[in-house]
Amino acid sequence: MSTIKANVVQSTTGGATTLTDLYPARAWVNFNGAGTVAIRAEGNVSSISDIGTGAIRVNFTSAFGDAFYSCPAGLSDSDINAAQAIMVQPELTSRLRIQTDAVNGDPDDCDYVFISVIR
Amino acid sequence: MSNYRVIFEDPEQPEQPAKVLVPSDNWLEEAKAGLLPPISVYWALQDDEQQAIAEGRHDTFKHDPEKHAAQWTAPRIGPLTEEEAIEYLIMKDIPRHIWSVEYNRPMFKIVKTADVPSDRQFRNAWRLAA
Repeated sequence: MSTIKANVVQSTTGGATTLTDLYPARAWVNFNGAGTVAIRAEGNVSSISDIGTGAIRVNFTSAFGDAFYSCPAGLSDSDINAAQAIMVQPELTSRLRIQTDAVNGDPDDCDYVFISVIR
Repeated sequence: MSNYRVIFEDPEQPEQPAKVLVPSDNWLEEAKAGLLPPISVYWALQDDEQQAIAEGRHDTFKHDPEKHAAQWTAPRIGPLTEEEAIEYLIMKDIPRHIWSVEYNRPMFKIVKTADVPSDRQFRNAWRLAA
C-alpha cells in the first residue's frame, strides 16, 4: 500500500483534478434562506443571491466547463408547515438557481438548504 | 462574515423584488490574499456562454478549454481590500446589464450587512432610491 501526503492536489492547469471512476463534489453550499440570508459554509461558491421568496441563485467561484452538472439538494425547516420541496436548475456554467416551496406549492423561504454539485 | 451586502434590481424584471447578494467568506479571504484572476477571465467565459444562448446552442455548449483554464492559469491581480473585493464580486456575479448601463436611478447599492432587513415582506417591497 502507498501513502500520498499532499496539502493541495490540482490539475496541471491548477483546476480541479479528474479522478478515475470517482466523482466528488466540485462545489457545495449550506445556507440559511430565511430571514437574513447567510452562507453557513461552502466550497467553490463565491456568493449567493436572494432573488425572491424561496429563490436563491448560487454563484460558483470557478465556472464549470459546461452546464451539464448534477445537483443533489436537500432542505430542512424549523416550521413543519414551511418549505418542503426544492427545485434546482443549472442555469449557466457559473451559477445555478434554487427554488424552495411550501406544502401548498407556494414559494417559501427555508432555514436550511444544502446542495452539492457533481460533474 | 462580510460587513457588506449588495442590493440590486434587475431593470429587465421591474416587478421582481430587490435582490440581495451575499459574499462567501472563503471567497473574500481569497480576494484579500490576492488569489483572484483578472475579472476579464470571467467576462470572456460569460461572453462565450451568452453568445451560445443567443444562438440557441446552450444545450451543447462547452467552454474553450484554454479560456476555462485561465481561471487558474492567468496571473493573479494581487490583494484587494474588502471594498475592492465587493466591487469585483459585483462585476463577476451580478448580471452585467445591471451594473454596466446607466439608468435613471441606481440599480445596485453596497450596504452594511446590518442594514438589510430580515423581514421578507419588508425586503420584497424595497426599491433603490435615486
